[in-house]
Amino acid sequence: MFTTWRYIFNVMDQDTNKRERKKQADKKPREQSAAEPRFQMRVNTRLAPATPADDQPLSCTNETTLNSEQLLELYRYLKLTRLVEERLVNLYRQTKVVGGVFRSLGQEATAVGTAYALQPGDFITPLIRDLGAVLVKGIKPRQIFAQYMAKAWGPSGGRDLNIHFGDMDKGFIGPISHLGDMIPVMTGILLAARMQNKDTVAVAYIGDGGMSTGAFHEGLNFAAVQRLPLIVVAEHNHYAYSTPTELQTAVKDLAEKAAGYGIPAYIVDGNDVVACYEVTKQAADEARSGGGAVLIEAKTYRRKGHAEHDDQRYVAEGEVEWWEKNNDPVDRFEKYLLDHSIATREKLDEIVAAVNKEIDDDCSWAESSPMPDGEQAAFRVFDNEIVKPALRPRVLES
Amino acid sequence: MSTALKKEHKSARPERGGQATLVEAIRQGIWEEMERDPTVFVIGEDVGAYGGAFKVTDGLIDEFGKGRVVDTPISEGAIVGAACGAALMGMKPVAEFQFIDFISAGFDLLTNYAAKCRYRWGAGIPAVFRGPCGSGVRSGPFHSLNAEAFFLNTAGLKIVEPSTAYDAKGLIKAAIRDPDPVLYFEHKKLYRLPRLREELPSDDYIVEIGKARTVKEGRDLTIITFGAMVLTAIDAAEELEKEGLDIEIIDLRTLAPLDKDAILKSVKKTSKAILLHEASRTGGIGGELAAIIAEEAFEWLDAPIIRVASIDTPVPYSPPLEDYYLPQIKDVVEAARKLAAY
Repeated sequence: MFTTWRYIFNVMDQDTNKRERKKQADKKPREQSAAEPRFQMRVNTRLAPATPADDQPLSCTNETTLNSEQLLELYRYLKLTRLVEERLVNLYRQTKVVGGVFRSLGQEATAVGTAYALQPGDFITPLIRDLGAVLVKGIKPRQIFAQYMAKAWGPSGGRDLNIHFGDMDKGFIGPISHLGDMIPVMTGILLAARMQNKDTVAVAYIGDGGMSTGAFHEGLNFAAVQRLPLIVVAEHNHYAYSTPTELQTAVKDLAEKAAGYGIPAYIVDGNDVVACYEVTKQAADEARSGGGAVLIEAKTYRRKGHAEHDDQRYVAEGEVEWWEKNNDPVDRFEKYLLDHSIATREKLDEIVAAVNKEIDDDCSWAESSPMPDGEQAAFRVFDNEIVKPALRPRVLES
Repeated sequence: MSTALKKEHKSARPERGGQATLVEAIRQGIWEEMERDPTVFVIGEDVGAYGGAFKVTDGLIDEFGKGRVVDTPISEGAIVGAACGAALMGMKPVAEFQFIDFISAGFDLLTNYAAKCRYRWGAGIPAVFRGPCGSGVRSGPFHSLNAEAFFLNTAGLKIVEPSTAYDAKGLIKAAIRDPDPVLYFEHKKLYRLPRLREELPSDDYIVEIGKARTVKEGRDLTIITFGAMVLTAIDAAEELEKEGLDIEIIDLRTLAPLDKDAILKSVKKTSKAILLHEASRTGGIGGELAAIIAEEAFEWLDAPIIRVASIDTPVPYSPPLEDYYLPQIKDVVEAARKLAAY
């Protein structure tokens, strides 16, 4: 399943780079020396997926600055993400979910690990499969349950679905269905933060599919030009709905696209939650200190279909099962925690029990919420202090 | 590369009030709002050192610096998206489309993000999206658009279009202060039209969004219009006056949300209505106005509701073609005569 990783590996020394640019600036405009390379591809693959040794189960990287407490918190978020989704599937099967359920099964480590590297004032804009990042940013499972069930107490009051909402205080800006659109929006968040003298960093998630959109390109190009601290996490999970990556793009690694924006990139093992954290931490530190935009490609795998209804007929036989058996992010992290004696099995069970309790409580709360009053549909298109709500007019009576 | 600019150029700070054309009025309005409120900033293509394709933002960069006058790549998606993001952060972006024709490249983010944000999760987008619209200046199919009908069917966007220098300044200031996204269309033919030069007050004023203006009172027939067609209506009314017809003219100024009260009040008074606009006829705002009048003022009508609009083609380039495309004074006069006969 793993291929050999071949990358042009050229992390340029920043000072040399500056000197080069100065030298070039002294020359006549638009003249390029023949010795000057056409472009530099800067892809850091230190934490990219390694080829596993035969019959050796995968774990996580040893290179970490996280302490035991933080590692266990990461574990809690991984389990919370998986178990909230499992509960959503139960609710879906009970027909309590109004729309579809979108799973991140098998790729939870990417969302959780990357978001965990951010500071409270930083922003994220997730994709539908980044529930983990949303939970790390402090959104409660009850809000997610209420949203999926289209309840009045949900953050959008039933006006929009799943994680399509936001909380500016928590640094969470929900996505819209149009992939790529959030990249320019996040660029604007960072542009404003800079005007306000804040050292905010933002992570925008995108997938192998979303990277094909024009909005993705426009947003990232602008962020790169403005040297804004935007970290684009490209989740390479191999399918966009049913479309495999090779029908989406001609590049081999999504990280290659960074060269087109003149920004550095990382490739990280997206199923190694520790590696995801470490790479994002490094990228965030660099971005915060003026390094500009960066692209992180997280190699992972989507084990479920696009949504619960999808039978995955387009997936090769045995592929999902291979990933489940050999490369599950939760299994890998459990092995890491146990092997390094960071936790006992009992301790992990304790964490899971607490997570289940939280999910039970929050799910009951969400189920007890009423559905919204229909008339609420008319409110909040505009500030209703200025423009009246769009109530249904009575026929020939106005 | 040398950083010295080809031409030393520093644009004058605009007067507060005084004699102004429409373009000067908009520039005054933006300038004053940037002075008044440090969260207001300008973003768009060539808006900085060059001052914008039509010089609406001329001199802003000298006064307020690059931090508040942001030149962008040719990326309407980036402009609209970044304006939305900045607005969420409490800033008040004034985003420029170099020509309103290019609004199509930002359509997705405008209609799906800017328009729906407050509705979806209560986060208003206090941003202005402005740019030159309109035909009649021999600019062909891609620099002549009137885009209002694209957006009328999207809940969540306010649309304004001034036809006087006074309104241009008052509306841009109101748009900047508005808590929701406002599309601000500027008819490029009116920018420097000497006929529109007028004395502006020196005090701070706004023109309320959502309120139409009665350009001229009359008894016999109402022409409801906006933008450059207000002038066509005035000229037609003058001609019709010679024939003894007393025309009332309503300048909508705001196209969304429409000032239904003003529309209905006038039609109930004159009992006859011409809906005059520069965009193509089919699917244009005239159809919506006609429906409102038919539903809510049917008993007051003495004649059919007439639309006078451009024909259903792209905007052609060559003067004879464009003149045929656009509603002319004679078309309005002819329609009025027909209505007068009822």
